[in-house]
Amino acid sequence: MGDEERFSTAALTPGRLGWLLVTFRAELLERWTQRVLQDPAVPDANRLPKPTLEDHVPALVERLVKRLVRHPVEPWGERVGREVGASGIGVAHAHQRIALDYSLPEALRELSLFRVTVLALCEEHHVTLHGEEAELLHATIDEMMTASASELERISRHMYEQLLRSAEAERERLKMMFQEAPAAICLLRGQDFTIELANLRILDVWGKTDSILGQPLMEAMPELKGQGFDDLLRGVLKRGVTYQSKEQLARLDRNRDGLLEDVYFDFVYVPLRATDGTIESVFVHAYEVTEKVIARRRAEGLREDAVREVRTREDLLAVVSHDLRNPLSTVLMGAKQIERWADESESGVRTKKAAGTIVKAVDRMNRLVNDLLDLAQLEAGQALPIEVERHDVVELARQAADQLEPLATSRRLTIRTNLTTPTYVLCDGDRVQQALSNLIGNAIKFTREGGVISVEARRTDGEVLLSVSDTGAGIPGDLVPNLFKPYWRADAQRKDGAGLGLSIVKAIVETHGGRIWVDTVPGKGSTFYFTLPAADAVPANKDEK
Amino acid sequence: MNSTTKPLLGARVLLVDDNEDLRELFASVLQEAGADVRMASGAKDAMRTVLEWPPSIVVSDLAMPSMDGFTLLREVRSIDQLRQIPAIAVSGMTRARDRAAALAAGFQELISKPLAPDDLIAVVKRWAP
Repeated sequence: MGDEERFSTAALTPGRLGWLLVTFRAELLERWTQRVLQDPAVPDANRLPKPTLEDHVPALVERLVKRLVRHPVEPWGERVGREVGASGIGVAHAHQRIALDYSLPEALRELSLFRVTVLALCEEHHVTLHGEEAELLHATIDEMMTASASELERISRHMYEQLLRSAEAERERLKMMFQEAPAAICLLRGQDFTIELANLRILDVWGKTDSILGQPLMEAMPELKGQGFDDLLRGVLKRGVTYQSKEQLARLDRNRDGLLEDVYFDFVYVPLRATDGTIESVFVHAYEVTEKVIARRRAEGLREDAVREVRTREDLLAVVSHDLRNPLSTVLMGAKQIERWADESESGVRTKKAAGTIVKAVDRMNRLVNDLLDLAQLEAGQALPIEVERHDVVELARQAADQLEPLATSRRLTIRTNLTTPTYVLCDGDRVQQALSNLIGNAIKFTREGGVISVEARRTDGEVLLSVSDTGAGIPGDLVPNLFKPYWRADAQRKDGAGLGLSIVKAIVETHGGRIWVDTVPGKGSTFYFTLPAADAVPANKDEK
Repeated sequence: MNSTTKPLLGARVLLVDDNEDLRELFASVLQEAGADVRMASGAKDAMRTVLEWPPSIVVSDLAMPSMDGFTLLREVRSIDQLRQIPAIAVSGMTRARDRAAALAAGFQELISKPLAPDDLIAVVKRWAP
């Protein structure tokens, strides 16, 4: 080994300490290691890898030998600057040992065991230490022990201070987080819920100062008595189960003037256990949500008002329609009777014609009343009531066309239908007929004499496509988006109709799950299309009318 | 006089409506169709009439002051021999819920105002025994 080469026994006198150390280096090392490992006062040595444990001993032996050989030529400490002296070894020793949590006594014990080992070896080999040698041995080991001890002390003091500082910083950070948190936080300890901690937010929310710290909750906030919070807290303390609540009302004396204020909280009570497992306190974490609750209530109130208003309007309309229908009934009945009673004389014919005009007017008024009722319902956000049955839509279209045939004829218009194959849909027959009549009526209204109105029904994929086309003037493109809006009329000059028709047709179609649209070519005419879901899924009814 | 010009021959119709004009017109239509008609301007009046003149069918308005058509029908049907009497509601209230309420109250049909003479004759003919 290199160590062997570095030491020459030539310069050493047998029977002296230097000779002993060089000759029995390996043995010294082994024995010392054994002693250390077996010594109950150095338990941490067992966690030290053996090579590390042995590390300083060769260096120490080398140092001792060097000193013994050169002594007294070189005085103590002269070469400390260039070589690591005994104290340097002590410092290194301390550094290594502290990494393994050596206590100071352990480190010193380890080094003193080195002394014991050397002395035992001397005795075994009958080496009597001269005054100088003994002094050198003890002084070197003492020096090393002193250095190791002071270094250990220095390091642990340093570490302790650092720990203290970081603990302090940590505590400051936690305190800041706790104090400045946007949530209201407090810690209630024991059966009387003493306020142990309370952050700024909770003091603010409670309208209290930190003078309440250390007081039982119900003493600090007597207004809370009878509001149920103490029962909740007691339950958490008893059962050890977290309790959560949303928008809980608490009545607090925030201005300390005896007037209770309604405050709403989202909060959670968390039981905290002591080290022995018993529940010793409750951690309270709360958010004040008063403004949110108030805003929502206000919105709800507004919504209720709006609903009530629409409802009232709808009821009012129902009553008005009812009251309108009574005189309409009288007019209709009367006109019809007059029509019937009129004879074939010239005046009778004129009477009949006049009565017919009245009947038509009643019909229009009645339709308007019905449309207004439908619209009121739509505006109230209610769907149009429909009674769905299986209907042949071709039959419905034919009936609508037949009904309007006289009107068309009177305007010299032709209604052409392409309605042959029965085509079934699930729909409210009256409503679909109403939609078709409306579209055909519009077509009649906007088509000049000699024009043609076509009504068609066609099966497409899973749907039935109905169309009403005319050869009218068409609709300018910029007007199309408004077509289906209520109260809108293509020609504001025209006063025949309230502009409700198409909006109701659209509602009828959409209530059935269909779509409605228009194709229009200015100068050529328009075609209104709408779809209804086909009724294929339903088995055919043999008794179909 | 045959059944085409007098389709309601033999029917005894109690007609209840608080609107006098309408009542008169309805009565004239029904009478021309051959029905025997008694009119009542309200429920109280109607109850008096049914006791001395048991009708075969009731045609009544629904919304009337003091006692509405629903209550009237209940009262009429509480009389033993009139327990099965058919009744027609005539009303300007024609929303689905109004119709449902009328049927639930035991009316055979609700016919909506305004109505033509033929509608009135048809509905009475449909339900009169």
